[in-house]
Amino acid sequence: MTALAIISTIAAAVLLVLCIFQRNEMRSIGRQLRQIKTADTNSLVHNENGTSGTLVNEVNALLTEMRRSRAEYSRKNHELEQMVTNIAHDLRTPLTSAMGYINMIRTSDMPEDEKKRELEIIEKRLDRLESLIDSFFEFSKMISRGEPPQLEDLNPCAVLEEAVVHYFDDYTARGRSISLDTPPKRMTVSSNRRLLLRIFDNLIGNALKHGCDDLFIKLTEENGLTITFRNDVYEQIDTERVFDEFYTTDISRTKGNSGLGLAIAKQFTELLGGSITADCSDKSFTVTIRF
Amino acid sequence: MRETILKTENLTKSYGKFTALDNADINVYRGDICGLIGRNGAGKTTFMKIVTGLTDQTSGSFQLFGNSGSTKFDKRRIGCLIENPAFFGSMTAFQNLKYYCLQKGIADMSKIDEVLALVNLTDARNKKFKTFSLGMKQRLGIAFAMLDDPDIVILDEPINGLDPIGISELRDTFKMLNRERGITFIISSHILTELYAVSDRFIFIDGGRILKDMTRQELDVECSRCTVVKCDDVKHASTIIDGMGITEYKIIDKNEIRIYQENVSVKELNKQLIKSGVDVDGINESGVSLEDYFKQLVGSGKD
Amino acid sequence: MTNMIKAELYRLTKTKGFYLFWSVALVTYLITIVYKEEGGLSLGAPLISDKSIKMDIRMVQRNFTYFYLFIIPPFSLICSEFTDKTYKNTITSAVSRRDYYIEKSAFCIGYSLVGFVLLNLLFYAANALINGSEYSSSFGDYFKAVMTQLPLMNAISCLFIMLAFLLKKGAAFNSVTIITPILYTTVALTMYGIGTTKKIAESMLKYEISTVILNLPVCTADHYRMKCYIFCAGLSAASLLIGYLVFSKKELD
Repeated sequence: MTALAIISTIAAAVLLVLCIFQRNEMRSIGRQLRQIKTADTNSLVHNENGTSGTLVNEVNALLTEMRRSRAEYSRKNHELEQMVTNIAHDLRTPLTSAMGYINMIRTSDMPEDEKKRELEIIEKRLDRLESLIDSFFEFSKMISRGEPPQLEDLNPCAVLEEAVVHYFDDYTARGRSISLDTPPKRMTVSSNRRLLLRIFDNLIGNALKHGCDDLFIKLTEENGLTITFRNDVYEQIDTERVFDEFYTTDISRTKGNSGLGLAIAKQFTELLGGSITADCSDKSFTVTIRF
Repeated sequence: MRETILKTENLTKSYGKFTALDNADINVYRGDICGLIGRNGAGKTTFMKIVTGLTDQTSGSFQLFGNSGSTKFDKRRIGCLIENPAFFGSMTAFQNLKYYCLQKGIADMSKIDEVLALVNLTDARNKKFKTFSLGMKQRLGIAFAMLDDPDIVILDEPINGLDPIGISELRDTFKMLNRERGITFIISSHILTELYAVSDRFIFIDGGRILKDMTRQELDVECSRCTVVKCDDVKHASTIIDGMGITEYKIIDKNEIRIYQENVSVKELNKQLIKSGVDVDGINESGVSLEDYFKQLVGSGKD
Repeated sequence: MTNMIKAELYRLTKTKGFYLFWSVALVTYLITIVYKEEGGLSLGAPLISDKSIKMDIRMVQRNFTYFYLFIIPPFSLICSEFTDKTYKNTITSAVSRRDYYIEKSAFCIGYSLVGFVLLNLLFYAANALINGSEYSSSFGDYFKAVMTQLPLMNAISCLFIMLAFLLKKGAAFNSVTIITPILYTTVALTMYGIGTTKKIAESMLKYEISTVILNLPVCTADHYRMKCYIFCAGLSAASLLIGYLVFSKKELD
């Protein structure tokens, strides 16, 4: 009888102790969360006596995720601010330049053909301005609406050739060339011409501004369409962030781009159901598009 | 970085007649990497001991995280390595860290491996502490400081015993942690060049007294390379310099002007000055090295 | 507190002292059970014991062994922290000095006493099973006998904790704890031998530790027990207090 009494008392005592521990642990977790909330800290919730290890771990996982998002948000915010400044600068530059020329024409006495030349230059500047503004519009349209593109049958090589032609003069003027390698037979795919042209434009333009020497483009058709753009670059590129909207290695940004080129290319590619990847090794930068 | 994370007021510590710390007034801002520079015995370790609670101050006060920093919650927010790294010799690196995880109530044991990876000690995970080299011991100490997701990490001469590659890796780690997790660092050393490479703020201490407290830009200005122009007519010379488009210069006295701008062509400067009729005594490049600056500071502090 | 306990238990299993503590006790018990004669350390206490008492209680009388075993926990838990200076790690980032002292002491005492009671009970069980009722008393009697020694064991534990915090280094701690009772007994015996100090020596010997341990389970004189217990209580309280004051006020290096 007494043995039973002793055993049950011990059992009761043990249970009581466990209950107290549990209660203390809960209180401690509550208290710590309150402290973490008020202080801007990296601290996580600690075990008071280990009776709710799983809960503590889950809470900590949430906290970590929350902090990570916050840091990410703050980083993106900072980059956005940076980008806004850059955009303002970008838009202002051709505008100021054009205005300068207009002023010159107005105030000075120059022959007709010189005036014509100046006007051409002004037009070029304003075109540039227009295309910049177009980029921003396109981009914001895309990310806000997300409507599926209209598909048609087209020859991708022809679209690629068109894009190359756009930039041919710019490349030649710099003593650089574009080499295009496409399969001899004519092919047809279902895609959107405007988007595809924009993608290629952006990639070739990007190579022009940020790369050096020649650009090598290759299109192959095996297990779907694969197009690669390869060129040399001046400095190692962070391939994980190169498609980020605001990423640009050239901090001084004297080359006048908004960093959106590759981001747009990526968005458009994915919109068309394809994939785009970048690789950079030994100062050789390659972008690969797959449909 | 405007929020103050540690603030001391007239912090004094005396051991009998010897004053180890003399009315130290320090402000450390959140998010800074703060370099505490001083010779051996200048009071760096004493300062750190007081702030972390290893010893009590004789007079004065300090505030950590806005309060006297000794609640359990606040204590966890500090990670530190003071004097020699201390661990149990017969236990492995992992076991040592696990012991402390249990003690602090850290729920997630994977933190141990995470923190060992941070200091490149993953290979030594299962080696007994007594077999560690000095550099490895040091790194385990740093790993321990990082164990509990601290907000402020206080390190007493952390690069002691590390080889150059180790030092450089550690430097990158500190910068990364500071950038990504917003951890404030207070690092003491007597090796100025190393601290210079990593810190945002510098606090010079000697004989227990705080000599100077400055940001990196301010230090650069004090020590930076400059072009020294010696001539008789500084006023005239300064107008010439203005005309050349140089804005960063300082008239030191009636015979000397120092130009802090980079890429100033000495040839051009000389030509312009002579052309305008300024008698140039000499133009040379100068700069105070960090060591010299520190020596100067300590020297003047003694006067 | 529970965290501290978990951490220390984790660490203890990796120290040599841990295995020493348990193995010495178990081996002593094993030998006793096998040879059916009580064994253990004794200092001033007489070796020849009263055969009218059952063997297991005679074994309890020999619990002076625990005096030396009790040196081990403070040595592993407290002195090592000072030798390796690992206390720095705990004090700077986990607990305050006051809590550190309290938790360490509490764990040390708890561990020592739990070990003491457990081992004694273990012996009882083994002895009763193997040697039968000829050599073992009823559980109640045995348990009571063990309990009578508990206050003294507690006092010894507290005293050692104080010494550990005072002396800090392991070597000093070991020397003082091991040598002091021997010194005490030697002095007492010398005084006894001298003759003029015989009276003092007698009372010294009556209250010598191993003698007290011998007598506590079996003595019937209430004031003997009372005196001992009061002294133990006083010693425990004083030791812990002094230890605390020394630890929290003095500089730690």
